Amino acid sequence: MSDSTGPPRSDSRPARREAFVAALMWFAALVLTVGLSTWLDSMPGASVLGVPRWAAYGVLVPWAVFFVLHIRFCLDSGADKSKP
Amino acid sequence: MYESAPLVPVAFGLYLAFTFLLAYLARRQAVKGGFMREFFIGGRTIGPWVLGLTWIATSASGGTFIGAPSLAHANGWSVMLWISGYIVVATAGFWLLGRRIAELGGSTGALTFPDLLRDRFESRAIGAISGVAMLVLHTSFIVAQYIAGARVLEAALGIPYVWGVLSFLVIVCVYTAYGGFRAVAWTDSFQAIVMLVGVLLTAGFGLYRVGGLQAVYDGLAAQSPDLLTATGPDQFLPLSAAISFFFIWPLAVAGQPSLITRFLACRDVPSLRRASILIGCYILLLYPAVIFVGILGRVLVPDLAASDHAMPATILAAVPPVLAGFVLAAPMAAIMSTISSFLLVAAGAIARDLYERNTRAPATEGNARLATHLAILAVGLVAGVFALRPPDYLQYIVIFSGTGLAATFLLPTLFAVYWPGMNRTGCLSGIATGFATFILQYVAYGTRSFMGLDPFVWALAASGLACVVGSMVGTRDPDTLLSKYFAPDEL
Repeated sequence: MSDSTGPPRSDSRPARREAFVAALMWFAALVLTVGLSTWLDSMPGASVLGVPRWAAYGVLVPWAVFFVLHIRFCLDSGADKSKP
Repeated sequence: MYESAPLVPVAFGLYLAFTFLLAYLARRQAVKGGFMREFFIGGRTIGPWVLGLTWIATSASGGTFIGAPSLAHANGWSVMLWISGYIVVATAGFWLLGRRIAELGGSTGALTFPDLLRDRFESRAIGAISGVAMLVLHTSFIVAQYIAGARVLEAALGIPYVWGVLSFLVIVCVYTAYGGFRAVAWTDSFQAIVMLVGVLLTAGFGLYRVGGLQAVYDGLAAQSPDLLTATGPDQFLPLSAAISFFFIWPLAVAGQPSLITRFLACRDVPSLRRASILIGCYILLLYPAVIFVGILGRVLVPDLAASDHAMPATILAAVPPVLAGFVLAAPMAAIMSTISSFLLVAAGAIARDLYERNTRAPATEGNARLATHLAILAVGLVAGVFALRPPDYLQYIVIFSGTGLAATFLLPTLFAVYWPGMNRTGCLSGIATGFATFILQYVAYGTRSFMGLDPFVWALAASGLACVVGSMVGTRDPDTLLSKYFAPDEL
């Protein structure tokens, strides 16, 4: 492993910070996806372009949103900008 | 057997030939010296593309390509919510543990997952116990892959089930033993591309054949309106199960030793970051499409000879015969890549964690090689024997072994690498409690434990609690040991 630009390998804090953000994203996605899907499924409504409304807005749209957040997170992660 | 395509055997043959060619080329690239380091982690030289593709190919198994579409075929759109935890699989899988494991792998020289835990706590018992638990649960996962593979061959080529199991056993054992991690990673990369292309082609052709999304919706509504709901027919996915699976997918992946091993092979942190971006894109394209293929299959091929035939039957019904053989290689690829990776990890548990690290004198390179090859053969054969009597729904074995591994190892590993206060008592308690509570709940309650949640959720909570209580009861590790893992001001 040759992470020459990063902090000493024994320092767990940069990785821990990233793990904490990843855990927060997981929890937010859980609440949003399961909550929204369950709520929309209980309401009457037509399909969205042939996809059930709960699946379109409760699963597929959150998937796209969290994909963008994931890319953003990856671009920031592992860079350790706070350290020289 | 469904109406087959004439080029299926040719396509399978070409696919296998290319896989063996890659294994051969990978072996020629092997770094000389240090058999174990090269065989189990590819000399720690794996870059972003191969890292990302081998990670996803290992993660996407026969369960993804055979089990999940079969569930979608039976339960309609509700399976999209069932799999929705994959929204954050790339984030959780790479960043809960990935970076830290990659850093520690480089600084401690760990070759296997039990190596990491054993060295962190200087405990042979932890190394041996984790080796045994991994061996048992990985072997059951391999059983599920043999079943899936034999189902594909049965549906696509009419090969009897038993011969299908034997074919997979021989093919994968040979190229895994021949080329080790590097060959597995290279073939995984090829297989990951085959998987994605195969699924997207099937979804596209299927959609065209049915007549668009609205036609799929109307076809399902005509069969049963329950196929369009979030809970599915017969309450397939109540709220408690939806929550459980949002725990299961991301966290089971994050705590999967065969995936954690990928991070040990990683070249550096920038490679990890690029691989994570690649995997985010890959998952976004693959998983909704896999479930959609199962849903399409319900309209195209409503009646199946066996519940696990949904994917191959849909491919044969949707894709033009000229292409069907090549597309059928996608589930084959998913299955082979997972078997090879799990074989490697299970063999590592025997050869490295139970044998090499417990011998008084260091094993010679010849002995290490022999032990590794025998271990691959033994695991492959034992799994093959168990696969001869398959259950109805493959996906349940996949979930059982995958979540069992994560319930046992995720939190002890997280605490081990992030918390200086974690000691060997805490680690052993966490592993034992996670494993025992998981198995006991399965035996007593099946897949729905207290409050309707999956046993995984409670086993994870119990394992975390045991880690903390055990660490408070046990003696703190000496600073000389902790300083290898944490900065001075963290202690």
